[in-house]
Amino acid sequence: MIARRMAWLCCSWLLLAAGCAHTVERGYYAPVDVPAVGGLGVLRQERDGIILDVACQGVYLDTVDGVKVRTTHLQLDVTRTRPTQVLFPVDGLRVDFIYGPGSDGDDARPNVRLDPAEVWTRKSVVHDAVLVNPWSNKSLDVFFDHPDPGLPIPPVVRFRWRADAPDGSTYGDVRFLRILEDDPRHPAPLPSSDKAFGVRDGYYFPGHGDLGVRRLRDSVEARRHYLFHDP
Amino acid sequence: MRFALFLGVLALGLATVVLLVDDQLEDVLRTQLARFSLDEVLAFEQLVVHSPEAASVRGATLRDPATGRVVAHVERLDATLDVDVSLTDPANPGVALTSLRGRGGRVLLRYEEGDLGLVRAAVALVDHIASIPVPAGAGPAPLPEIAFDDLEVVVHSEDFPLERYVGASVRVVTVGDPADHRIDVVVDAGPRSGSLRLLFGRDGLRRMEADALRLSPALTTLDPAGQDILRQGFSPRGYLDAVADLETDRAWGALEEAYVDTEYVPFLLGPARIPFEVDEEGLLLIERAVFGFEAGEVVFSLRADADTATMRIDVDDAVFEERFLLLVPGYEDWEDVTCEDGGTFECHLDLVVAGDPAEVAVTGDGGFHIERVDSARWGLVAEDVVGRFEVTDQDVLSFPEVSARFSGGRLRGSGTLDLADDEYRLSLAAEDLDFGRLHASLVTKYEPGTVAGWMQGDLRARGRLHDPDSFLGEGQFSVRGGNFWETNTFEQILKVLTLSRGQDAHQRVETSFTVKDKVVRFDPLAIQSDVLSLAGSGTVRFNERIRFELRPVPVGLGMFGQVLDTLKEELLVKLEVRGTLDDPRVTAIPLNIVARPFRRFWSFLFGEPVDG
Repeated sequence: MIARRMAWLCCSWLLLAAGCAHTVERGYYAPVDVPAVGGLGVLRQERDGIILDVACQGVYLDTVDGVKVRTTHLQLDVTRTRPTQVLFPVDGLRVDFIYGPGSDGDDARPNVRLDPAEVWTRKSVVHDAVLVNPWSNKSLDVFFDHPDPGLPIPPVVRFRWRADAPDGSTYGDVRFLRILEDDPRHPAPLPSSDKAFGVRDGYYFPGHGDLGVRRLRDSVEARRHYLFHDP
Repeated sequence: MRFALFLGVLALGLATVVLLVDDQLEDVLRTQLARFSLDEVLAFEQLVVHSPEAASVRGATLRDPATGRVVAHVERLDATLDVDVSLTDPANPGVALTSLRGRGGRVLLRYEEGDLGLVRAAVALVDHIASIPVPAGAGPAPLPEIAFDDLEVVVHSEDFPLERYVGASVRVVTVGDPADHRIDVVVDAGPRSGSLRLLFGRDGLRRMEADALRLSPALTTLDPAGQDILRQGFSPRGYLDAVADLETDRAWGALEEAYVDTEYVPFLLGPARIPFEVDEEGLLLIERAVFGFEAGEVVFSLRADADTATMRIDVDDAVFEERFLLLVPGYEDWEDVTCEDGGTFECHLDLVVAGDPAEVAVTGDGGFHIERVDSARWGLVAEDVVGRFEVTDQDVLSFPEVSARFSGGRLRGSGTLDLADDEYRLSLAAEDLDFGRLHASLVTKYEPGTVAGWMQGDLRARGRLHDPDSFLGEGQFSVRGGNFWETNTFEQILKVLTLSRGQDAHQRVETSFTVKDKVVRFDPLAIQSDVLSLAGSGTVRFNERIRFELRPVPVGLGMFGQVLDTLKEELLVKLEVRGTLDDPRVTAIPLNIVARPFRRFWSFLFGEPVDG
């Protein structure tokens, strides 16, 4: 009896240890054509009176409405330098997972297209379009969810955007390449500075592959990008 | 103004001709001038008759009939004159002059801003000449045909010459029936200077026609009725194509390649095409004068009468230039701030100028994108500064929203400036600044270091321009994920406490602050890290003198080893930081008395502490 109990106890400890040792993988990305320096890579696109800085906070797992999903998190910083408003329709934002050919010569995994699941500008959720007023700046957090949490982390994330202004529409296309641990742009093996801040070297909760439940966290501070997780 | 000069020349020519009749005719001439009231306008110092057909005049002056002020002065008129004179009655030296020609001479026109004396003098002179009666019994005689060529005309302000016309000429032609006294005076102002045609009738000047007439620097010619408000504020120059019909009191035309020097804008505007119209009521209208310049276009509209001028200024999608900021009150005081030319700019302003002295009321709005702003003194750089501004009818300049990339993060702000009393209010938020970069800019001047962290904070302040003592502010900031033990002050603290830096990179500073009387007070101030946590308060004066008092406080669980030893030895001290930001001095002071409550806590945990 005692032996059986001890066996169960050992098994439990082993399972617990295995669970603790398992680290959920997270994909970190750097934009193409941006010099490799430390910290989060930001790509700037400037055209038609729009300055758009785009950063990818990675591909990770989180939980939305009780369901675990594979999420791509992009942070945008939009500056309008003209006297007219510009609109970023939510349906003009799009992410593609590009897998390319397999390492063993298999056919390429089909690309996966993702539409925005949630768009936030600071503490406000956006449903249809993000309005950027003349001579102003707006920061966005855009989450693209895929229902399969087991979807492989892609080597390339492609982000496309469209902006509508009175004098016409503007289009942009940004590619992010996955960076590995030996890349100087990969986040250091340190947690975020503290949970209330959530950022280190520009990375959003680095070191966490599963960020848990996604919802806007309360904050009294003025932030460019607020926190949506509490890992 | 210029045609007045030529009319002066014309008058002098006439006077000269009269004197040519006889060596003694100088007295006769003066008599005739007085007889026809010309001496109110025209006078001369010396007339030299070289021959019956040649003479020269020196020291001739033209006066404003209203004020008596000299408005034109003939330095010399060494003209050789072809004169055809007939005297029908020598005893009564009325003159029937048929033609007069001359060549050469130099005339100074005195111009005082805002003075119409020259116009008054010129019109009076020609009116007088046109009304000189012919001798009795001579019948209607044509007025003299007059031609002067190769004149040098200098327009002179009180201090310096404004403009010089070389090779100018004047033609006076009788038109139609001499009895109608219709005279055309054509002034060719010389190469690239255009021409002016003055049409006189029985009642005097009736029409002016300018054809590409080079104009500087006054609006006087456009403004014979005298619109003082305009002249006080604006001084256009360019080439004038215009017609002024004095019979209907209307004028219209355009100033081409125009530049406007106005006291309301601290730089020259232009070149532009300024179409204008003056109606019977004396209302001056300028519709959409477009000033093109390197940065873009300024569209200017004006509606002005003798009392009030209303202006509209529109700048759309122009390239931002630093000189635009000279329009912002107080910018000239920002000596260490440089804004690079680049970015975009727009503004839409309505100005109403009225009263004597003129007062300006401005309303409007606009926006800007400045690519880069440098502060050489602080070594700080802000990029992509974007914002909007508004000027309300309450004389308040407000910036509802301004933001900029700064030190890896973003600054956002808003503010107001009361243009009447220079009082300002501002609110500023710092979002996710890279503290390492900020520290490098401010302290190490970009020497590489390990100072790191992410900073956020806010500031609310008010004060008055040009009065640093009036600055009042309050706010808070925090630095997280930091490694700032390498900063001067914290390095000293570690040294005093015989602590090593540790390897952690989660240090954290949080504080609230107020600014008053040139002193920044931090209270409370909390510093947390794995090896040490401090709490206290302190001040930094604008002269960079610092004064802080900090107490070590218990750190969280897991702080054993070096930290535990340190606490045992050093906990019951307070740290005093004095000196300057560049040269802080840290001393540890025992706190046996004030720390008594904490002592009990310490004893509870670890037994009796060792006194510091």
